[in-house]
Formats: sequence, structure tokens, C-alpha cells
Amino acid sequence: MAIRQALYRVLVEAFARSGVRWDEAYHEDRGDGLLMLLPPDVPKHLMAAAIPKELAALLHEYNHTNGPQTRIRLRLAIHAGEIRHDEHGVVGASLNLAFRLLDSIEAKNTLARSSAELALIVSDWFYEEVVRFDPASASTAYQPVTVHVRGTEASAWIRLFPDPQPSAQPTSDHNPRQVPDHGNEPHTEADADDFDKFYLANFRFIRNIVNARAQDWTLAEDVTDEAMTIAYRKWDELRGHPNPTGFIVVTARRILSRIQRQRARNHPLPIEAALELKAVGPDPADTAVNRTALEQALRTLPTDQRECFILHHILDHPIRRIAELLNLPERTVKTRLRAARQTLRDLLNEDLGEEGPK
Amino acid sequence: VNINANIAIHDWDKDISREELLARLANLKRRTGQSLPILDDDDLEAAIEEAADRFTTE
Repeated sequence: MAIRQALYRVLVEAFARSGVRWDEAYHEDRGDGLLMLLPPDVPKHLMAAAIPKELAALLHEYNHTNGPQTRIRLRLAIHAGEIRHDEHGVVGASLNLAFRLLDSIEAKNTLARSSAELALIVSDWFYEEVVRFDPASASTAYQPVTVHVRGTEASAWIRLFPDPQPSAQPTSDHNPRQVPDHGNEPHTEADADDFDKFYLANFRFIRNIVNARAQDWTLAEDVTDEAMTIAYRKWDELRGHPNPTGFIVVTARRILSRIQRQRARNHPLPIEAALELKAVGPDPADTAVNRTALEQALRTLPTDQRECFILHHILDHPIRRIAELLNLPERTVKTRLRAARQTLRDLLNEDLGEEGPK
Repeated sequence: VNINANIAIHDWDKDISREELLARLANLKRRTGQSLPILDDDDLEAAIEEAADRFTTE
């Protein structure tokens, strides 16, 4: 049961890391395996390169962390073709071929005779039409095989992960067609690994900064994703940047500013209502009222001041770090903080002190 | 008014699950699949403009 759960866990994460949404694939659980059908708009090169690569990396990580008794070794077969759905499930000659490849003695023996954790077998059609033309798919790592299952014979290609011959070079007769220039790819696979880690580690932090200006979590998250997308498209340059987070924050702020300007032109906002709530004393009701009053007061601050105030006094970022993130001189951050405190002091009729309200 | 800023911190730092992050990352890569790399300032300006337009033309 634990292995089964682990298998699903690594599969889901491999798909996510590869840029393929798990929930858009058709799944049929097969006990010790899984049938998956991906819609035709999913780029096939992801199936040939990113998904097996991520799956192998996650399997290796799992096997390394857990004991040999729970070790997982997988066979993965890939083919593309027409499938029909009926009341009993899915059918099609392409599906039959994929299962024959998966169950072939050749695939089983290749994995069994190696120390690999993943054996990938693809149909001849898939190899010729997808793998061979995608540099990220490492076509030279595949070996041709002829599989025999239930009286049928088919050509296929097998690759192992980890690759037992990672430095194998193409030979003139093995890969005769010209490999196209992939200069339009945003980044290499190795870069993508770095980006994934960066994204997972920094999304929340950057979103908080954007929200300090936007005051709208959904907008802040979407704008952060847009800025992250731009970072992804120039990751080759950014991964060596001294302050990639700062670049993304500034990019997000610029996107947000454009959105807000355009929205203001289309739908001018009403003038902000004046503060209405004030309370005193330690009573919980007063505390709630005070919180609401602070929120309202923060909303009335100019955006630049609110951003600095929230980052420093609420989210506790040092002034120097805020200056780095927003690409501003420290003195500008201090000036905005002073102005924000003065405005809040006036609005709340409270002496917030030089260090803010804490 | 006796304000304790700590009571308001959750209003400005909301949790986000790993599953949601992974889904967002997957979606980002999916959308970026056919995009060209950003090589210079002109590309960057165009990308920022396109990003903003997506919010205002939806």
C-alpha cells in the first residue's frame, strides 16, 4: 500500500514538474500500474523528455530515502494514436500496442538485467516522430528492439534511467537526420530544475509583496505568476543574476501598475471612504475593531507607502532587504516608512512612535 | 487606539499549499511552452505589456 501511494505521489509530482496537469489526463488504475491518456494538445515532447526525466529523478529520490524492501522500479511504455471511449472504458489498436510494449519480455529483461529504476519503451512511430527530433529527449540513449508479444512483432526503442551510458554520442547511422536547432527553447532541462526550486521557494514571498500593493490575493497571485513566467523565459540570464527575486518583484510591480492604470481608466474608483471605526481598551471586540481600523487606514495609504509599511512593520523585512527587492535606495524606503507612519498617526489619532506600531 | 500589528499579520501573509504551488508551476510551464525566450529589454517590455493586457482584456 505504501509503495502504491508512493508511486502515485511521484507520478503526480513528475507531471507537475513537467508542466502537465495531472487532472487533465485520463487515468485507469491497474493495481500495480496505471494507464494514462493525455489529450492531444499536450506537447508530445513532454512525454518523451520531461515526464520520464522527472519521474526517474523522483523515483531515485524515493528509493534513496527508503529501504530496499520498498524500492520501486518501473516500466513505462509510450505510444500515440487514436483512442475510442465507450461505456466500458477506452479501446484502440494504439492502446493494444502500448500494452504489448509494456508487457514485452524485451522490456522486462532490459530492466531486470540492469540496475536502472525506470525502463522507458516507446513505439517506433513515437521514436521517429517525436524523440528523434527533440534534443531534450536524448534520442541516442535509446536502443532499438524488436518486441514479441502474443504472436505479434513490433519495432520499438528502449531507454534506461539512470542512463548506463550517459555520454553516448550519436553515430552517423544511428541518428542520420539533422537535429534541429533548439535555440528557441527558453532554457535547458538543468535550468528548469533550478527554476522549479526557485519558484517553490519564492512564490509566496513575492506574492506577499505584490499583495501589499494590490490588496487582492487573487490578483497578487496571478501577477506573481506572470512575473515568474517572464523570469522563466529569461532564466538563462536570471540564474546568474545577483538578485533574481528583486528582478521578479520589480517586474510584478510593473505589471500590476499597468493593470491598475488601465482599470482606473476604464472604471474610475470611488473616493475611499473615510475611517469610521475606532475603539479603545483591551476588550476583544475593541481589538477586532482596532484591526479593522488599521486595515482601513492601510488601504488609504499611498501604494508606495503601504508597500513599505507592510513589508517592514508587518512582514518584518529589514529596510535593506526591502530596498534590494524594490530596487530603491534605503533612504527612499525610510522616507516612505516615515510618511506612512505619519499618515497612520493622523488617521488613527495614535502615536505610533518611530519604530511603528509594534 | 491600542493597535497590535501582530494580529493583522495573517491578513498580509496567507499560506499556500505545496499542491497549489505545483499546480501553478505546471500551469506556468504549460503556458510558456510555446513562448520565445526574452533576450533583451524590448522583449521584456513586450512581455510585461502582454501580461498586463491579459488581465484587462479578459
